[in-house]
Amino acid sequence: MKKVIFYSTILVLLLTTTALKLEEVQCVAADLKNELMPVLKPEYKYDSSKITRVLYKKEAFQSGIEVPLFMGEKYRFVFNTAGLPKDIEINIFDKKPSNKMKNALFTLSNVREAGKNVYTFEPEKSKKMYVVYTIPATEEEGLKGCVVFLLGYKL
Amino acid sequence: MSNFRFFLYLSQKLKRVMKKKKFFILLSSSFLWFACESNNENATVEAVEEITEEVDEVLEEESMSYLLPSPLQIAEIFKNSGLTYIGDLTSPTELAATYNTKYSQKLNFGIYSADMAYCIINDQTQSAIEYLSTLRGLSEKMWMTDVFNTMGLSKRLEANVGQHDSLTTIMADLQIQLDDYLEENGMGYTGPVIFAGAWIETMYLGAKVNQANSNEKLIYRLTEQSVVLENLLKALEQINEDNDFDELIADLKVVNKNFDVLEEGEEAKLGDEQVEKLSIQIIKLRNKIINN
Repeated sequence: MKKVIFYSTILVLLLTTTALKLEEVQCVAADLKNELMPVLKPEYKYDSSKITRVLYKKEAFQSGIEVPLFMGEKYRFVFNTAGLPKDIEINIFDKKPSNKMKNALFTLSNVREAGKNVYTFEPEKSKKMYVVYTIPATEEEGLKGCVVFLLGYKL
Repeated sequence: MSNFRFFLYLSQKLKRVMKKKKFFILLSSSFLWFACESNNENATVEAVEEITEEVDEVLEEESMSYLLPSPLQIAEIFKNSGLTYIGDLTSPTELAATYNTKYSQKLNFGIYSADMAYCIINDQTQSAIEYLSTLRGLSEKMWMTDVFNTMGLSKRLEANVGQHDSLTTIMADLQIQLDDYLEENGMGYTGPVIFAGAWIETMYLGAKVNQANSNEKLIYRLTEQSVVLENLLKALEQINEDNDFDELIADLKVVNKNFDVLEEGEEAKLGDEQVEKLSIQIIKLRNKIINN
């Protein structure tokens, strides 16, 4: 009987550590998205969303989203970074990322707070915008996660 | 057994089984794996700042994705700019039975979604419920039944007849459900095709209403859709690896040509002749899609 208890305990420990590890890198997009819904309501209505899956590489790289906004309407950008095993940088530009005249309207590093994973941005003026994720280099192989972006509108 | 006694017991047992190499290695690796993971986190957080500068302005076109707005939002914007309700404009639900290819089903799913949004924003709840039923039928053909199963949409629509805000919220919930479904089932490539149908139908409704009763605000909003069409074309090109959407892309590029005359500027608007040309092309394309 003691043997059974002992081996069961070890098995539980093993499973727990494995589960913790898995939980850390797992990206359940729908759950992460659901976390963002209350940040939109009641003022803003769901417009669309983009889940960007990130596979970290040995070199840093960027990934972007082109966001069309309609003139005169109000928008709220909401991000959930909880699905990322390592921090990334998020920028929102008013022009194409390749344009030298672009301005950063939002930079996550300026607003990041410890323990916080939901961030919002409301542009003053509505026009096409560009969300750019900068994913840092890593030596760890197979490291992956996701960042969820939700757009809400108010007419 | 108290916690302390249990811990002692566990330690003694552990010493004994340490001789069993495989087991020990497995256990240690598991703990080490977890521990190393936590340590590395700090190192990479520090690295973010340095690397950001290095990769600045190297974002390639293929690393971009293109957000497509909800058809409901476009319909609401059109409505606020003078899109009135004309009863027989929407696509007949009977045609749904004739869509037998996945391609025509996806495009017409978009068409019917836009029609449902048009009915909802104009408080035509009974028509909206009919479109919902048609959408459910099409979704079954496309093996996307789960999109509608969990929401009790018909009941919600019926319960909220005349309550405009509640009806649009229900429509927005359907969009969330659809987006989630496509994402969870690895069907992201389907989204732009469905959206293409919805966008073409919303533009069709806008063009037809404008033809019946020309309206400057609505023309401005129709013109503004050039930014969406640009994104739609890029999104379709990204999923066109097997050239399945060549025809749709070509047709939309013809429509897009109408916006070439626009000059850079926030208040750019198509002239009367240009709007008429755009309308004719949109109507032709929409009729081609619904008539399969």
